[in-house]
Amino acid sequence: MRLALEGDMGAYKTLLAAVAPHLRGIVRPLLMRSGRGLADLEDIVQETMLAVHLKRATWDPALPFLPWLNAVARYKAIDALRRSGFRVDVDIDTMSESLAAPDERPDSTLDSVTILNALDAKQRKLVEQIIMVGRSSAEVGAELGMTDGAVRVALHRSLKRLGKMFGKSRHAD
Amino acid sequence: MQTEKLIDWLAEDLAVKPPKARTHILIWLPVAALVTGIMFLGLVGIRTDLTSTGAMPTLVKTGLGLVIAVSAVRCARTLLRPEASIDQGLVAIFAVLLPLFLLVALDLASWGQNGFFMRLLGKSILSCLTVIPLLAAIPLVTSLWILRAGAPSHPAVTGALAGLASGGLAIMAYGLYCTEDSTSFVAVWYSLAAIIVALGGSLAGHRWLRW
Repeated sequence: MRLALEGDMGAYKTLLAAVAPHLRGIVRPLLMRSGRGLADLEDIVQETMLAVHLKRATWDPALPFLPWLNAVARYKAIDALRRSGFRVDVDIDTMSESLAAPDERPDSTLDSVTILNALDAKQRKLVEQIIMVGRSSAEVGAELGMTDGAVRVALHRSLKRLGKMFGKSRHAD
Repeated sequence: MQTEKLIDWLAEDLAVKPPKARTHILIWLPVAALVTGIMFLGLVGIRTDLTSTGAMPTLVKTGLGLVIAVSAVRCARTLLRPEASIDQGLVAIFAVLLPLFLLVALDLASWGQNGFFMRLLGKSILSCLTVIPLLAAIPLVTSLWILRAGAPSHPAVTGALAGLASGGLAIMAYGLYCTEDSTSFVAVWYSLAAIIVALGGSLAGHRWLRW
């Protein structure tokens, strides 16, 4: 995370890839105890990862990372469960021990098409080409006649939009 | 959407630096306080005997406001971290309660029990309870706006602390105007005014500081 905060994209991806199974290990027992299926598991995990990303400035690099991560997970997971009408009262610290079963390519119920449709034309094009297809942001930006800064802003806005969609999708359950 | 894709998306966004509420609050809250100060001068103005009989009491009031504001801001900044425990927020309450008891004791010690209730009730409770919350409005809205960038696990408590801090700043201004010099009056009604703002902050925090 320290490297990531300095802008090291590779380090950040490695970190997030490690964070995902850790979060699954926290959220899965929560869902099971509340007597729900695991259908929402990856949605909550992804929503939490988005929160980790957007709130990363609240982590103090002088302090250990895990307590911060667990606190974010606790807040987001409990918030998500509460929104769907379940009373939760559990101690997460004891639960993160239970390991997540390996999952090949975890997927949320929110599919790419729904996400893309919720974005405006420019954002959709950017997300589709850069994120889904995997082209470089400089290349796609040039194609659309956008500066690096404008591409960044548009992608950032689309992430915020995604955050709102996570909140809503569970509301409709 | 696959989690892998989300990771790519988040990594692309790494260059967009999120705002740092813990730093911004220290920059913008004083600015909001300054605006409030100017508003205060236009609204009610400073008491005329500030440099003579009013000097000591005003100093007490400013001091009280400062203690409330500083301890509340400190605790609110701590609670912006998700892993902070709520006990750290309660420290602020104790930091404020102690000077309040001291103020009442000071009043009793210097003037005795005779006329205590007269001094306690004073003549300007209503003005105290309305002008202080009014003055606190701008700092409160400003601080809640900044705190939205934080990640408090207890949004309502964090909002209450923002209210307490804003109330403290408002007290510093109002103390320059108010001619009610009994320290008992100050201890009771000033703090009640700050609590009113804190309640408002708590309600607003519950709504706006969720993330």
